[in-house]
Amino acid sequence: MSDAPTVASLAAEHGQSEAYAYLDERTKRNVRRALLKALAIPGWQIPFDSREMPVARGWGSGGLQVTLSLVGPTDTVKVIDQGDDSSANASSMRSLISRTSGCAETTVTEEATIIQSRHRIPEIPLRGDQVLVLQVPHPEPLRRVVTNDAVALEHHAERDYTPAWLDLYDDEARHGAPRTGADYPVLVEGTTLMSPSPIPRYDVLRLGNRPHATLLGAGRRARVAALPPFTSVEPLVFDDRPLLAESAAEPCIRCGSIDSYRVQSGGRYQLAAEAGNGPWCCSDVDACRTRRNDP
Amino acid sequence: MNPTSTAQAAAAQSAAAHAPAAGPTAAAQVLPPPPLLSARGLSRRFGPGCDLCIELTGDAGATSRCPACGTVVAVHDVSFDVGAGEVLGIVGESGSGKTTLLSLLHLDTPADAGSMVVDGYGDLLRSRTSDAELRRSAVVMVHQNSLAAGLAPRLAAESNVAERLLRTGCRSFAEARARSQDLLAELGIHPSRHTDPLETFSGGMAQRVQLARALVNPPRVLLLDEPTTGLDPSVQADLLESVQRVTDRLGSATVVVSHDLEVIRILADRVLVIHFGRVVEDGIPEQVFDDPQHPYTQLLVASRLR
Amino acid sequence: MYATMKETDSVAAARAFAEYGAQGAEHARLPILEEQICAEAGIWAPEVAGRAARQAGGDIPRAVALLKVWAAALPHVAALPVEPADVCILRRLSSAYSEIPGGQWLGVAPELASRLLDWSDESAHPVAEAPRRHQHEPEHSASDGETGGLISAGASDGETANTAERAGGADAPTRAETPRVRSLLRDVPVAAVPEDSDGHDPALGSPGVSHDRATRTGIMARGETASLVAFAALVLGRRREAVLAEMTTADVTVRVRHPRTGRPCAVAEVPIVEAEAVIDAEVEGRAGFAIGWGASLGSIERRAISLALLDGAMQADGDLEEPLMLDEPTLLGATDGSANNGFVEHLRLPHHASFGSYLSQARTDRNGESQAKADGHGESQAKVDGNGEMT
Repeated sequence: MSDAPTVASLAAEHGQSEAYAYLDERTKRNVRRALLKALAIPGWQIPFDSREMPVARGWGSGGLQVTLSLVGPTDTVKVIDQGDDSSANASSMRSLISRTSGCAETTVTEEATIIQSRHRIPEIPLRGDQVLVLQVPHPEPLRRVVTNDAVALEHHAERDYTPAWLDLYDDEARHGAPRTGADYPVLVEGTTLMSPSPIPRYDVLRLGNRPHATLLGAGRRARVAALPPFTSVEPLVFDDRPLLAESAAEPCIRCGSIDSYRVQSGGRYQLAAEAGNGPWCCSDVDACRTRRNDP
Repeated sequence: MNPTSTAQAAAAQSAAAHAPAAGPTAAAQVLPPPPLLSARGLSRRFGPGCDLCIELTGDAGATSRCPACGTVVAVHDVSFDVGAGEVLGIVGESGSGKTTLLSLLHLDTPADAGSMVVDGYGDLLRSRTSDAELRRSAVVMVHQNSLAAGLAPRLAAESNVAERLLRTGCRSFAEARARSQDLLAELGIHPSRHTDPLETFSGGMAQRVQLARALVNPPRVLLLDEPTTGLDPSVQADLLESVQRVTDRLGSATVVVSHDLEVIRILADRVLVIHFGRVVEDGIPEQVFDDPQHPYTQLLVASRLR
Repeated sequence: MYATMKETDSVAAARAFAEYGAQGAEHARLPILEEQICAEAGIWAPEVAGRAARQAGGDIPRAVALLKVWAAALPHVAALPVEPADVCILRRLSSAYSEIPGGQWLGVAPELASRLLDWSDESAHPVAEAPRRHQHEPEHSASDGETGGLISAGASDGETANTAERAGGADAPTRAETPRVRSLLRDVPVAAVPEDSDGHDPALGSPGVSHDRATRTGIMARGETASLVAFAALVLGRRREAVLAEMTTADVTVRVRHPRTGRPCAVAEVPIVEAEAVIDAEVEGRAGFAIGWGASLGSIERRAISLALLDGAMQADGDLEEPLMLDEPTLLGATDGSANNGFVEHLRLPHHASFGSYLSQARTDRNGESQAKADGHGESQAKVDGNGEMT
């Protein structure tokens, strides 16, 4: 690694008016401290000094600040939006990260050291030397049932999640299932309720006991949360009503997978006459490509 | 065990440990069972107070406001015991102090003096458990106005009932549902309405839901504040019958406050008559209503008969 | 819509602006600002709006007032409902599905322009511009490629390239040949849309205290941008699910009846931004959707998105009976403009995965009665298709 650039050498040669990895050092330090605290209390929401970023708030500014405060010149960064590397917002963030930090970029899950993602967890299992950064729109899992943040904090302090349980009970009683689709609340280490970001239930069931750390950043609400490696994460469900993953009607039209998370497209050219719109495709583009190349 | 419910479970365990404590001792066969609720010398006044307050109020002064300092002696030296399954009725006109007494028992208003021992919890007035917690397990109130009782109008009736079970750590949907629905049905709410939002319920039906919610985790002490006010007479009778049946079965100590002597006569095993903040008469309903001793009670009964 | 019948000094001045553009004025144009003033004033006259903005010193509410005062004295002619064939779509996207019938057209994507302040020589850079069909001024069409955000999403990967790279040219499709994305929601319950009238034109006077949906939509389309966004952000923060089924910016041809022949005559072309938001709702005791619709003059997308969200919330929650606590966090949140704008506009981002999750939940519903009931919804959906026309 002797010929790899160091932060100091890059800083010395780039000579730009802009700080290394975009954020000034004070902000990075603040984000890192918040992340350390978040790792120490898994699932707990830690406030941080969220900055106005070159992406709009609510567009991944929280995840971007987390990534930028972690990234170094030897990192390889992958950014996905809904599982897709080529989304315009994901590519613009990926190029901002690599341009300002001098790190490499990739779309291949195995090559990445930092994976920033909006609303999906890569389906190819991550290793312990990788970090997953999730963009979070609503860090407060009680937001719908306890609208006042201060009151919600009291509920967290007392680990009293009765309002969330009541909401779930009412859904089960009246609809026979939870009404929440994505962003299903989870209990971290059996005690702290956390929003896992609007990942599908398919991903909620894969959140626990991972060998890698998962960092969650919410820029608009200025909070971070974290799941250290091998943290227990369970969806908030009754013992006799397990959470079910989404079902897809057909295998992926590209790779033929029947156990990936698939979404149906609207059909490209005209309105299909019959029920069922377009084909079903894997939402994780890289995992789908990997399955096709190496069946 | 689910760690979120540790505190509640511990409380429940200690309560369970206390309940059969009367059993093992040999003497328990002879002694009457200890009361679930034992109030002694409960007092509360509003104002600065002076040396003459007690002397100049009550029957002596025919007022509850002290003429010397203006202090209102709302409740003075009230004591009573209520056993398991027993119903104590408290009657009095507006301003007699019965509402203040109820708020003392519900820990909404701190008492100036006295004690309130609830079986398994000790003296609630000196308990280290939070008032909010005690109000969920030791003393539960059914409010006069079901909207003021913290019910969620948008949620299903059975959800409002199940809330108490969820709070104490019930994590089985089937169990929570069975217990909530059974109680609602027992209180006369048809199963087809259990999942309707509470806001679609009439006043009398909402009152039943509130009662079911109070009883789904049977509390030690059940407080009923004017349970039938605002309901028409046929609904009243029906509701009172349901209350009687359920409280009999669950064995809570019940305190019912009403200005309506008929309600007290139907429900209560014993009656306290409150006047100017004092207990002026105490006995079984037949005795108090058929042969009142105190002039105020006589007036009350007479006005009722006219 | 306004149209001039009789020349007055102010009308003559406006006509001169319209015919000769801003070339007579040596002032820099700020097209988005002009659009916002026009949208809030409820009259499409961007050059006049520019003049009002300068005279108001950049004070937008004052400029809006100047424009409204001017418009109030103009003669008013009722326009005919806009025909779908007269709606030329310049930009179209859906965050609910990756592919939609008729295709996604990103066109000029204002949200993807750089958000970093540029310190180099200002005159060398084009000002942010709204999408516009340039068929009447072909000498300008070469500048299309330089407006910053012109991109084609997914183009780097052949198999996900679902977007035609076309900037508003002469071959722009019209609404007539472009199906509505909401018609894909066939097997989930959708809240019934109340019967619509033509609505009351707010420019003609006060329509009374209680409004039908069309009138309400017309009034709110003139709403102040920041207020719309603040309320929409409030609504959005409390929903389970909200995605943009479809958003289009379009140039529409406005026609009036010829006073003698009675034939429809094209009198104006105005830009319109239109959005349809799908939000979670309880439909007859089942999890389903409410579809909110909103449109605004101009091309400021956050206005249309906010209008669609507010309309959707009103349908889902029975005229927004949800109690609103004016507590500290609500007030602080409602006044944080950049957070609200970002939050409301983020609906433009793809939501395929999370929307798929909610769809799956709504479909696998509900105490066993799923399929039989779902089948009946194809018909009611078809009825909804008729509305949403501009009047």
